[in-house]
Amino acid sequence: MDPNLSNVDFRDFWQLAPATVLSVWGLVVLLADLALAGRMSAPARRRAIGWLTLAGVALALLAAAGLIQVQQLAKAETQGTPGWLSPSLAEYFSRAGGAIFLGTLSADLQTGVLNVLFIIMLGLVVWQSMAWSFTEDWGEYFALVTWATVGMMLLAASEELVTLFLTLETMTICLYLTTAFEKTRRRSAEGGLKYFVYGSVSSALFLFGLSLLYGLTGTTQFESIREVLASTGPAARGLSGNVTGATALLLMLVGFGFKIAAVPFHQWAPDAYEGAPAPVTAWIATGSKLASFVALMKVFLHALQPWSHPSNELLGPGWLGVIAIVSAVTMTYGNFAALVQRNFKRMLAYSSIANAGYMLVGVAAASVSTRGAEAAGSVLFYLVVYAFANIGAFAVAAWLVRDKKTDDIDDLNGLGMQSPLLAICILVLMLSLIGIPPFAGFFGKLYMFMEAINQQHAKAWPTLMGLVALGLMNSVVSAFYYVRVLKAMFLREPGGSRRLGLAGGSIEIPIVIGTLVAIFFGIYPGRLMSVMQGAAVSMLTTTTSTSGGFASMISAPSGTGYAPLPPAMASAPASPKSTRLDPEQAKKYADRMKKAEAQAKALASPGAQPKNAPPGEAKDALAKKAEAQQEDQ
Amino acid sequence: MATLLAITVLLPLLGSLVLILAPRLDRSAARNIALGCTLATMAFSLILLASFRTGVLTPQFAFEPQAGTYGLRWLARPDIRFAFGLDGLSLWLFLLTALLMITAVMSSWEAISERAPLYYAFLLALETGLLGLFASLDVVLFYIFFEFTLIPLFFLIGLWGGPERQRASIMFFLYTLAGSLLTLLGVIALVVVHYRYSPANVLTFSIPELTRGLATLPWPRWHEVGSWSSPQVLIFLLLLAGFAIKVPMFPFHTWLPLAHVEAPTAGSIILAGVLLKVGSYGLLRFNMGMTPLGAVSLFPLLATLAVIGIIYGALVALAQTDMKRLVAYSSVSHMGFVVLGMFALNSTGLDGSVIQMVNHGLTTGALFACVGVLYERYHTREMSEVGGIWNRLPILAFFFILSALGSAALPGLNGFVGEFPILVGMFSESRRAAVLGGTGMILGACYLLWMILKVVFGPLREPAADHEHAGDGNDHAAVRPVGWHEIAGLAPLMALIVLIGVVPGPFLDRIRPSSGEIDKNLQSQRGSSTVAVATTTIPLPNITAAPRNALKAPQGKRR
Repeated sequence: MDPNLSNVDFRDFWQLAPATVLSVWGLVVLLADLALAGRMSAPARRRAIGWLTLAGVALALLAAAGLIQVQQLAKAETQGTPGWLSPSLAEYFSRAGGAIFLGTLSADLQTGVLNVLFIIMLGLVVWQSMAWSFTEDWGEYFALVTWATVGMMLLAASEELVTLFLTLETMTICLYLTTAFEKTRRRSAEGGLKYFVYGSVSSALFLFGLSLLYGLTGTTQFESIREVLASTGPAARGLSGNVTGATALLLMLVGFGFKIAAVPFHQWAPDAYEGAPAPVTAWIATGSKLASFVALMKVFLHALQPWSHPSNELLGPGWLGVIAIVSAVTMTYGNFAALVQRNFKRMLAYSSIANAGYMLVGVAAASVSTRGAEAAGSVLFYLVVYAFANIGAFAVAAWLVRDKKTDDIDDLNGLGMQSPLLAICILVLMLSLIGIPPFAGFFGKLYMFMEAINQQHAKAWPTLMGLVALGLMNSVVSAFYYVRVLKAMFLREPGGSRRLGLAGGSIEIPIVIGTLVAIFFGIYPGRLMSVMQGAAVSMLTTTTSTSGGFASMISAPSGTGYAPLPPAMASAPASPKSTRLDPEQAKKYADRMKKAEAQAKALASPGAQPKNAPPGEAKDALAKKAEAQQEDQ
Repeated sequence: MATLLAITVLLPLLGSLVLILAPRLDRSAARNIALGCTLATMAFSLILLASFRTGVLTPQFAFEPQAGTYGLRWLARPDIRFAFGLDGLSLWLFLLTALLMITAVMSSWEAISERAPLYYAFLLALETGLLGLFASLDVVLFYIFFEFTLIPLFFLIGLWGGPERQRASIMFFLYTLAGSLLTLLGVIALVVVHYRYSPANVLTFSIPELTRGLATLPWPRWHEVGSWSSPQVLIFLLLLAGFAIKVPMFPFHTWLPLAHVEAPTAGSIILAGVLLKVGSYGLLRFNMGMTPLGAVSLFPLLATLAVIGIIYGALVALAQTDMKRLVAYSSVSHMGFVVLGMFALNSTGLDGSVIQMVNHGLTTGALFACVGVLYERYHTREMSEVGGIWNRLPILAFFFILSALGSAALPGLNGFVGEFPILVGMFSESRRAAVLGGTGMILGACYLLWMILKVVFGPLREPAADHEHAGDGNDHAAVRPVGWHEIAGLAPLMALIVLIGVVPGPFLDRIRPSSGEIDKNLQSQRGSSTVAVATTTIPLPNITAAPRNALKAPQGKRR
């Protein structure tokens, strides 16, 4: 074993309490199901196991809330440590914060808040699952849903690439399985298979991207990646000429694009959404999206921030331009494709694609903005509001499937007369999804688009303004299909042979809670917004103080000197590969790079020598630099 | 007083919640609650009117006005405030809303029998939306109420409307939503521009602060000439998108006839009487008040569109046989006058424009109510089928004639007080536009008098007994006379039609400070950007202060 590596501090496991509870509870649920299998009918088991899972969710919620409480208590120095905490733990928690497990996971405000959200949403999904019998293997179903949640929680907490990949896979593999869980319907198996095939290919590409990134930077830690990339100085920002970096970036974008269902990686979404049982769809559309977006923001806004865009050009080589284009295409395609859908779940699938597009606007804004954390916080706010509205909407889909066996929009006909209160709740959810005030969806869009417009960067304004304008126009387009739901509910007479039965608690509760969230945070968005901004700050800033003090050790690159290629090298026939350098040489090299850059900058900056210097000179300097580099190697 | 204003705004919403949540209300209980709410709102509004100080520019009845900011803190960051207040631009529209809501409730008295509690609940929610919109001093609050009005109207049209109600309600909803989202973009851009370029970098959403700040701001210029390429013009156009649809200005009016015709009577009254004013109010408040350079640069285009709207609306109205449709198209024409008055870019036109908004609300609301009364009795709105109602329903005939004459701008009635200054104001700006707009007045008299001629006078013509409604009494001798609630709903409007026509002074006095402020900003922009104005197509006479004042002086005490 490498003597430099310290041991893991086992007290770190306390920070994982919610995830641990849920993982263990998945096993408990499995065993309980096994015990009950012979004695109970499937519907009775559904209820029994469902309640058992809910108990686990409550326990995990307790653990998550307790953990936040303990962290806060231990941090508040004035109060002293509470007596029931053992001294070693008290000492640990008062120091803790930031990263745990050698810096692979974060344990801070962001993680705590997101854990609570994930667990609450899991509770709603589990509740919704108890509505009707779409399967007989209840133990497996609930265990998988629970474990998917563990994956999401850890994914949102991951601080380095390998953990990121593993947790991502934990989450998606559970979701692949649950998607195909309704064995009696062919659609379900079809959706699951498509989800799986697309998912595994994109995972492979994603992994390739991660490995390239590791090869380029020599580290998997987000913070260290950022340091390595940033150490090459502002002149080399962006990806001009850096083919390997661009490849890594695009491959990673494929992986994330698949998870958040961004065009052109969205093809699985409509089929999987339509095929999966409604609660699973809800979980794919909300939990998985929320976790993936958090991971995406961590990787792109934190680790790869230096690759965002060249310093002179906003839409030049760099991920910002790509994200902007993907965002524009995604929201437009999603909304227009949703227009022609007749199936309620399929419509929601396309609307979820479109929403990913809106949120990418926020991500793009966060990368140029001086108020990056606020902008990222507004994306989180939007995600939360969107997630609760969608869980409610999918509960409606569950209701339709349960009572009518189909889930077309027309099946909602006349709901307004039949059960007015629930219809009004659904109305609120739809209006919130369109973004009509005074519901939370409006504030989500308002905050996000305002952060997008509020830019210091001179060139950012027109670009982001254009994106925002497109987003708002897309909201109008989206109104067309959401209004169709309203039309069916309120303006049409109930028709068809089957009528919707009474909703029952398991469907009512998610709808009502989604509605309450939409109304409450519509009238009073301030608190949630500040919590989300706080979470975004800890999501995007350095996690220096780790338990056990590994940060300094970890954040130093493990020996690979990396620098993005200078522009002049781009056309060089043999592009040098990053090779191992000993630390001394690396330092020398870095100094030289800095000097050369300073020179190039002085030549290039128009303020210093406007157009007087012959253009060849800058190139010469770069060529010299390139020579120096080759000598070093 | 600030609390009273907030209560006035929120009272109808409270009534609406009571109506929704109270179990098993029957029709008469529901309409009594609704009437009580609207009457109380009106009473509070009258108290506000009585304590409104004339000649004050700043918004009145606002929370914490002394600190320079208005309203109670709602969100800390960004600083969005729960701010209400009334000034010269909003005062009369606020009162108009309160008044027309009574008329709307009265006109639904007998007409609505299905799901009455829900109907009145939507009507009251709509009232809160409109009152809040006019009273908002915060752009986000304004926008919230602006969008909120869509929802009750969507249901009022979609559930209680005519045969094509589904199409009408959805078209109305989507059309206005499309525009208003562009307006939202414009509003956000205004806030951000103010934040970026104001000396203290204040991020404010307060309407008075923005108006004040943006007037003195060194606006960024993307290119030298302050015309199309200036951000101010761009923002002007964004703002215009939503408001032009609401007004509706000429190419964006297509939603209006359908929505008006399909809406129930009360819906039409509110739609024409108040909701269209939301568009013109927004134009005044935001486009004229905050982006004066845009107004100055683009006024030829807008004045042209307004003139086209006036003449087009009038000509189409002439061709209608359906009374409701006729009144709907007359709205397009009359709202054209409101826009024309604004883009005369002088205080005469602005005053006329503001008072014309109120006038149009009164007269058109009354006309729709009259048509509704007729429709309740005969179940038709075709002018060829009904005639000579003077003999059958004399009171209604009187109301009908008076409101039509008011709408046709007969001197001595309110329409004249609005349309004359508009034309005078425009005349000093562009003779061509004023003359062309003036033809709209003539055409207006044509179609309105024609309708009166056909419907009110002549031999009594009544449609053959309606078999569906045989139970109501197929004998025409049994046509229900005009009931007390119909009289009570229409009489105040009639009184105001005459009152504004005879003594417009008190009404105009309260408008003046605010319209004068807008005028001041416009003139200062004009001074600084003569280049942009000089390149415009409509030839401009020399603008001097003297003739404007000369025109303004007699107008206050006309007759």
